[in-house]
Amino acid sequence: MAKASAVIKQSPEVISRSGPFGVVILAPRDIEPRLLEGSARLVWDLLSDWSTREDIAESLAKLFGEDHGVISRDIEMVIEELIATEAVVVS
Amino acid sequence: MTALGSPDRFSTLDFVAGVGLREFSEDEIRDLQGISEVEWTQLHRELLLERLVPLAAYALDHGALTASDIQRTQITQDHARSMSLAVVLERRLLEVYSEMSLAGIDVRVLKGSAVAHLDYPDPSWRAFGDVDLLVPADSFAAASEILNAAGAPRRFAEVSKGFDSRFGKGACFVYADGLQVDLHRSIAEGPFGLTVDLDSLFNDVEEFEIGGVNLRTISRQHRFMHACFHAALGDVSPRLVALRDVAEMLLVNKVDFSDAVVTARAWRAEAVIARAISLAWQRIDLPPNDASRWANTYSPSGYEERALRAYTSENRSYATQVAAGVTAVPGITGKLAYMRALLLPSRQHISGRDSSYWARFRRGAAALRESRSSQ
Repeated sequence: MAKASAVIKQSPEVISRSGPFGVVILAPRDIEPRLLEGSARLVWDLLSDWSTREDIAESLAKLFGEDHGVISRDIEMVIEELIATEAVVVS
Repeated sequence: MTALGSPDRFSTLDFVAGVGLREFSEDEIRDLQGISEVEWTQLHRELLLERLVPLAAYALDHGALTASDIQRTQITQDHARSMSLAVVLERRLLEVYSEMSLAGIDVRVLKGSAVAHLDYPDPSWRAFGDVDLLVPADSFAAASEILNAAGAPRRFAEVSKGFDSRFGKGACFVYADGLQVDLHRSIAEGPFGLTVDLDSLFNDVEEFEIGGVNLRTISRQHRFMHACFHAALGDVSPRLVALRDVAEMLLVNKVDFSDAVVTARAWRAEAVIARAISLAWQRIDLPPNDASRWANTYSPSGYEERALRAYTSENRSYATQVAAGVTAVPGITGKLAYMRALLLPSRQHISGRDSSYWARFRRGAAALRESRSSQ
């Protein structure tokens, strides 16, 4: 598991399409395309620049007026999965 | 607002094909909510067949279409599915492109993926269903071998040994998972495919990027020519997405129309771009411009008229197009080689397309009758 302070970003190797449906991504280790909707899409969009989980959680907490800790736990799984499939690269 | 089923000037399907190409007034907004389930099922199926689901999704997003929640959900899900297929196809494209490039083949991406990335405001506006690649004629056999070795055999065997490299449009290769690669030597079958300056397609290069890899495609001008060839000659009744490509390139991408006419003249194919533009403007109901006025008044030569019939008549077939190609092959030696290849096809080709030599003979005779009656 990458550290919470690790700086991460979308991998340039991801093949993707975005539209009103969300974002479809096909990462190097994905067998099938993955559809990111709702908050998962927001996480993905925020990862177009180098960020930490902390930065992302803070941005989403501000956007939704939710508790930072709750948001952190919610996005944890999404980010771990994106790292595991090499959809994001770790600096 | 217009309800589907009312006597519209043109159909909702055609309206969707034109979304984003022109301004629409409030009373032109199409309302899908009031239509019956049968009508919706029919329209939904046609949107899929015509590859217009992405444009329908954007029409909903921009307010040009209104729909019930169920209809909206179906279109959104279809859009996601068509884009899932696009990324899967693009991964396969990267694999094949890389293998061919490593083998020293000067490959170019054609149609779907290249057009989606370079000719539309966003690649998610354009759906496609296969991978299209162009290779130099003398690399066609090597490129075919690469696809075979990767587990994608040809769908139909070559007419006769060496036919593809010299005269053919190309061949279709299908993987076990159903994904398809169309390998092209030219951009059309039959007479119009034989007069294309193939070298020029490789001389003018444009690049686009997928997954961090730069891929080469033909120039914008040549993509427009290819879009016209596909729209005018690909099917008797062209898919709306093919007509949209033609209009998109002229109206949004501002392809130089005068240059296109000069190229078409050199390729003996002015009638092809005239037909493509005419069909696009008519079906999508676009306001007249210089290109459409030229297309509507263009008078094809006798050669063009005869050649066009091979693609547009009700009896169109691979056989009629290939038979009509004889006139376009330059020189007596070339014509003889072309006719010999057609008269003595390989047994594998016969078994793929016809049940026997007799069945092929009958199809050939029908093609000849068709070709004669059109002269």
